[in-house]
Amino acid sequence: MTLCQSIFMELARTEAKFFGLAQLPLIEVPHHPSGGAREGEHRADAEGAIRALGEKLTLRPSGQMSRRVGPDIQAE
Amino acid sequence: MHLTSNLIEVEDSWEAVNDWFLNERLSDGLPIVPPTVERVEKMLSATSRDPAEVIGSIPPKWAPCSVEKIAINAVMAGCSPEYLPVIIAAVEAICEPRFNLYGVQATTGYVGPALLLNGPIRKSLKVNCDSGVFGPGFRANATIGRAIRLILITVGGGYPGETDRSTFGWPGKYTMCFGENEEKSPWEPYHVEFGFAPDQSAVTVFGINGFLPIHTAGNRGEQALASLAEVIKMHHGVSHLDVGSFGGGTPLIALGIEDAEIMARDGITKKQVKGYLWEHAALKFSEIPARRKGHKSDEDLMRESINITPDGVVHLSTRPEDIMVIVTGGKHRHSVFLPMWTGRNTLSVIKPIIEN
Repeated sequence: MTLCQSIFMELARTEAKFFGLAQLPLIEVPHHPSGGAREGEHRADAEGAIRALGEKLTLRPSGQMSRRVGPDIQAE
Repeated sequence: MHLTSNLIEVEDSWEAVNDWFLNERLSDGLPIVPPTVERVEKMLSATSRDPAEVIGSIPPKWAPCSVEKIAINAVMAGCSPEYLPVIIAAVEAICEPRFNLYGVQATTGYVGPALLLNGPIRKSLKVNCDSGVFGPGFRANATIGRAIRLILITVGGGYPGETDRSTFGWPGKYTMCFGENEEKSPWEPYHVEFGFAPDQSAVTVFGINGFLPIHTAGNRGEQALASLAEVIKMHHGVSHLDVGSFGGGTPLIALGIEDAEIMARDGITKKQVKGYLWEHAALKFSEIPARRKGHKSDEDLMRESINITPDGVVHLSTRPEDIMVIVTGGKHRHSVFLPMWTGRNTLSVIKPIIEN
């Protein structure tokens, strides 16, 4: 499982293929740290990534997750 | 001679061969010289090294780059066989971890390897070190740099828009190879600073991401140096401080021979050039607007950035000696600042050129 900023998704897919891991699960992070994200968008990216991570690790949709994943982030 | 690369059969025409390489994304877009077995063997005759010897792994594919693969790309680039030892040494250099070739290949920035040649090989290969040094017209300059780019594409898999994520690229990514004008420099050659004998040959790779021409001013050495520092300082703040782009790395200053002459005539040493630029091509931390500091607090930046001294000054490099100064090109009052990709993300590497 790899987190990847949108700009680098193509690189990640291609590199995964190079290493024989074409099915490597990738989680896309929309905003680059030095990009033009608005207030709160990085936090939303992080929350989204945690949700996606949970889904991919448990193979369940995020709605079925109930455990607490951070001090302020309550997954559904 | 035993070659191990796959043999590709293509219609026997220049157009068909070039179309094949373009379609396979194994080209820089310019026409290539078809790397036939005969040409590759002739290229390999310029070295006694085993064609199977792996010099390094080229990212993002991390594919092994053997002497044979280097020779194939040298043929494609239009190199003469005697250039091969330079290209082998340059591949050794770009594969050093401090050069960070993976980052260089994949970044959204503009960076590409630039090759500086020092020592007698400049003369034997007719490397241009004088007027028009960064421009066209010289086979060695044009094709040695191009061979490196082709290796990055064909062996490393660094293809624009896919694995090479550069927003703009830059013309220096086609080819960038030049020599120091040692004969017209008032100071010791660059490679001698790094422990090489003057009669040894060396290649230095820099992760360069731009070219800032400076028409210097003043008829005294100190004035020339001051005008250089002023312009570099203006360039200094091109990115966010929190990603390390304000200073750091091993930035390269190419002094034109006339600027170097004037400075030396007025008693300025190369070490003093570095010291002056470190001190004056600098920004006060307090002058940098918050928007350029990224997402980190002033306290974090002051603590983390190795280029900010306790007096709150952001320097061009971490230490004065990290500023690389060469003398090259022809006459008149022109010098060039060649900034490196974001701070310490890539550092220059020097390697001896072994001719055998």
